[in-house]
Amino acid sequence: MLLYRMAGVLNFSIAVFGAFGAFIMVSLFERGLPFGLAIAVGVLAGLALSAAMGAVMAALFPDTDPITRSVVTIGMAISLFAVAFRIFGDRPRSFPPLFPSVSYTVSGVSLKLSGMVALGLASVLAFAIWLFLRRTRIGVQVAAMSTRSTTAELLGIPVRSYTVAIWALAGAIATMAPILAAPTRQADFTSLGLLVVPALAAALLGSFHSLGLTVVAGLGIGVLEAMAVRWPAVSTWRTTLPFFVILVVLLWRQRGEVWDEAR
Amino acid sequence: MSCALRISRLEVPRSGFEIVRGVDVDVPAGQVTVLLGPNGAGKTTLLEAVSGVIPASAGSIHLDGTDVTGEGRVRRARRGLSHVEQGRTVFGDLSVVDNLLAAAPRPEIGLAFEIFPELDRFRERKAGLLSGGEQQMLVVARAVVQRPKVLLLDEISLGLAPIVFGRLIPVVRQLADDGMAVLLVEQFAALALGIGDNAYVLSNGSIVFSGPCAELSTESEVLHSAYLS
Amino acid sequence: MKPVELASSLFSSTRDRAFPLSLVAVLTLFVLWLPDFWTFLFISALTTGLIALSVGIVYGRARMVSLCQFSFAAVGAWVVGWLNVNYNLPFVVMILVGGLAAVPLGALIGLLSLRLRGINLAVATLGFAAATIVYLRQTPFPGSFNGQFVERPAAFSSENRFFLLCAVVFAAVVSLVGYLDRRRVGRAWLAVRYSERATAAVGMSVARVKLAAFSLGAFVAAVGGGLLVGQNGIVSLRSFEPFDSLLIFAVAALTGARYVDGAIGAGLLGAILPELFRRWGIPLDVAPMLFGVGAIYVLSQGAEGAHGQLREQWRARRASRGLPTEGTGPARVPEPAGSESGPAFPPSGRGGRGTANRAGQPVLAIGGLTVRYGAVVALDRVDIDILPGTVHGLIGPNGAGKSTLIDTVTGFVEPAAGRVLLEGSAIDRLPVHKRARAGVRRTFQQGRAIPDLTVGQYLQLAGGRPEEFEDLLVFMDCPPVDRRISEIDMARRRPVEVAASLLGRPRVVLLDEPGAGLAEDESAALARRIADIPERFGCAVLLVEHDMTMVVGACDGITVLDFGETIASGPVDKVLEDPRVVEAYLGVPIEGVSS
Repeated sequence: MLLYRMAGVLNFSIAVFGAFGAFIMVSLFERGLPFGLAIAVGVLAGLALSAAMGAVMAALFPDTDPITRSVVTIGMAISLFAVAFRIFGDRPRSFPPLFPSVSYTVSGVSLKLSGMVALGLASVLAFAIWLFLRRTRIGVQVAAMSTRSTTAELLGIPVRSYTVAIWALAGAIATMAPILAAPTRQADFTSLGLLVVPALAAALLGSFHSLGLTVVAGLGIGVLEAMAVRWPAVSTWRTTLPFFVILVVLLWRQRGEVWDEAR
Repeated sequence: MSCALRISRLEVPRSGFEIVRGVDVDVPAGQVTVLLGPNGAGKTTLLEAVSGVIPASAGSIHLDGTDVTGEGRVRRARRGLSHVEQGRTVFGDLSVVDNLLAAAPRPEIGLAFEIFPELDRFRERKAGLLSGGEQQMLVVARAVVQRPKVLLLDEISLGLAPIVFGRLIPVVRQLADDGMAVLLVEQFAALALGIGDNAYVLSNGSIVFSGPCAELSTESEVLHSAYLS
Repeated sequence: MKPVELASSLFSSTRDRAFPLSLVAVLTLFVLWLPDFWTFLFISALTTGLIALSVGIVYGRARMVSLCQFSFAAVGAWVVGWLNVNYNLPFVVMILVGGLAAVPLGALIGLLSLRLRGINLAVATLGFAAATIVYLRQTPFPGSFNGQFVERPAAFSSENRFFLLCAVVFAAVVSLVGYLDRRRVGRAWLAVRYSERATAAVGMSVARVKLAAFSLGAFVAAVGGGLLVGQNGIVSLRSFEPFDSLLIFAVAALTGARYVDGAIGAGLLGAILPELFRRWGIPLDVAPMLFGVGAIYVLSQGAEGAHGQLREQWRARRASRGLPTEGTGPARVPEPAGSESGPAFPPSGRGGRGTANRAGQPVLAIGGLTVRYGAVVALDRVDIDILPGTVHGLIGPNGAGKSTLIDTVTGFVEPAAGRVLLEGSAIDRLPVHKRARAGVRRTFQQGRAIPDLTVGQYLQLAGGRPEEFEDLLVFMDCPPVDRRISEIDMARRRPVEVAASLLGRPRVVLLDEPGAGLAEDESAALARRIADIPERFGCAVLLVEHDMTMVVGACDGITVLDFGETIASGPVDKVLEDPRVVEAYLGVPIEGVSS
């Protein structure tokens, strides 16, 4: 989401970076490193990995179209999956809970404290990014380079440095996401890595334009999944259910997009 | 005479073909240098090599005496080279003001509305919604607010109504009179030669004429043979 | 038919003559000579190759990222298993039915592609892959409980013979794809990836083209899935995980599965490489890593996969021998040959299209046309009648609504009011491609000739027959039929686009700045050709142009728009002297028009 908005490319591999960082965190924690330090190292690792991939993208694909770039991220995701299997194996890891597992019950729906913290954090981050993009010249330049990167470079906008910075930021955020969310999910690497599907779906719903809408969409999907658990007929489908809901919404939103480009 | 941009023995390949073959062009400050030539002669390719969009295989490019041949686009841009690409490359989703802000800090962008007052009433309009002529003005203005030493203009007349092009041409002259070095690539030879100082004619990747614009009227033998070759 | 013969027919049919046929023969013999274990792997290579080929259809040709090709394969496999349990059908029939069963599903996913594009579509298809696997997890593979495995047909039970069967099926599928490639729909696949508008403008339904790609892709993948069942007797769900779809996509991108040899290469990589790794003691998960990195590398070279890359180099070498520079024209034909020798294309017989019968009635009658974009009025009650046998000019400042007018007449933009009549019958309700077929053709201001096609293929896409091409290209002074459009510079592509718009017997062509980027004398030549169009092709012309030389040289009548309103209309010389036109558009009066 962040990447698409900023670098003109939607990233298939970003959740994999996040899962990578999260697993490094868990491994370190299991080896007895203090929790806080483990998180810090994990987030840094996700950041570094993502930045490195951003640098690859900036160096090798400076003037390519978004579809090709997306295919590149698919390639990255596959490679990283393979690397992760080597390093971490496919054994599910238990994630240490970040927050005491306290739940509040509000009108029949139980809300976990961790979920609420995640919500708060996501909103704050989204707002901060939105503010940054709207209020600063860098924000304008980033928006400019996402539509025409060659032209932006000709105007002296350091597109490559920005790209790397954005990927790094996205990698860090993506690492924090599974650390926050892991206790609610089975936590083997594949499922974390494929967190990309609901995450991307949320981004799609926000149509890559409104950061606020994306946060709301992400939460809506989470809630829907949680509710589906209680409904036996659909519970096996719970991971795919939101997808169909999203698809319907998405198709409805895009109903006007008859042609591939304006004019 | 100081030479803001000097292109020497430049060779540029593109998908396997040598498009530009050993070209020398000097663009002095304070002058409009006109580059003419038929389609496919390599004019756009030459400009792209100068600004670093595509790499040159041999030869050199000097900006104000500094060799920039091995540098990236961003470095060249920061050294005072501004390349206005073909085809009105506005940032369509951004407002007019944001288009200018992407190029220069806020205090600098007022200049845009001085040279093109007609843009003033569209400050907050998305650039994609402007008419073609206004977009072309915006693209030129966006380059100018950077106060470049060298300005490369690639066929700014393309697809414009005569009245709009007639509006742009004196602005280009004025920029040169204020000290900028302008390299103007044009298809409309007559109008370009009318405001130019020196002219070059490119044909099949090589310079076949260089000299004062006055010598090269549209009827001249050189131009005709270049276009018909 | 022996596989070798079949292979040779298939390669020649896909214009792969450069591919050494003997190599195919040797390879086949080599596989047959191999021990069963390796033959088995090569069977896997063929089935995987089929799935890669399906990626090559959907992504390689139409550039739609589909990450669910293994789900289609799963459908094929499942149906074959189910048929095997319930009905006693010959194996090949089961494979075929399995393939066909995936077609509706492919069409369904194809429907999504009508609104979702690029990465949105990729996510949707990946989601579909995830949903499929959830469903399959709950429904065991037919026959897996009671051991009713799918039996190979008796004649093909040995590995060698089953390999031959797979090779024949593979060849048949490739021939089918190759056949479609040479049809209009195949050209259109390469066209939609570049521009959907341009595809519709030549009379092809974008929806059908995309659905065809997805359906064919699903069919091919499902046939691959069916063969997989035949090979193994039973298949595990693990073969159809979304990750496999991702992986085959990367491998297909790596090898360039758009081409037959690329697809075979993808199959070999996917099936043989892991086994080699196992033997060499390299961990298996290195393979996907290499695929990912390899795909990235190949993409960074900007080619259609490894194979496409080799092809590009070969093409460049061949081209560099023949033509030294960027898109120089063909042997020049300075004047339109035989402009007095009457129409090169006889007017069509039906309905007496000749101008005599319908003298006076406009070919195209635009009445009260109004278009609004939000609060902005782009066109305000514009009336234009285009008479048979004439070239009508449309000029005006940028943003006056000229392109909007063309968009509205051809159906890309919905008008708020007004009507468009083609030879007296309303075409307002028709979609774009039907208007194009009814006889309203256009070109685009941006130039939308399809770069992936040759000139000849592009003309075929536009609905022309090969015997028409030569005269047409000479008339429009275009590059020869075998020149690829991507090798022609932008300005010279426009005449090709104009030529294409003249095919399919249009009644009227709307040309949007065909002279943009041409030098003055080239524009003048183009103007003369456009002026000749009505007589030669029996169709009227609406010409939008800024270059006054062209307007004066080509037009019989002229309409001037400013801010969406008609400010003048009539004969060229009168209009260009109109003071309002001079003020709004020209700036200075044009000299010597009336003389």
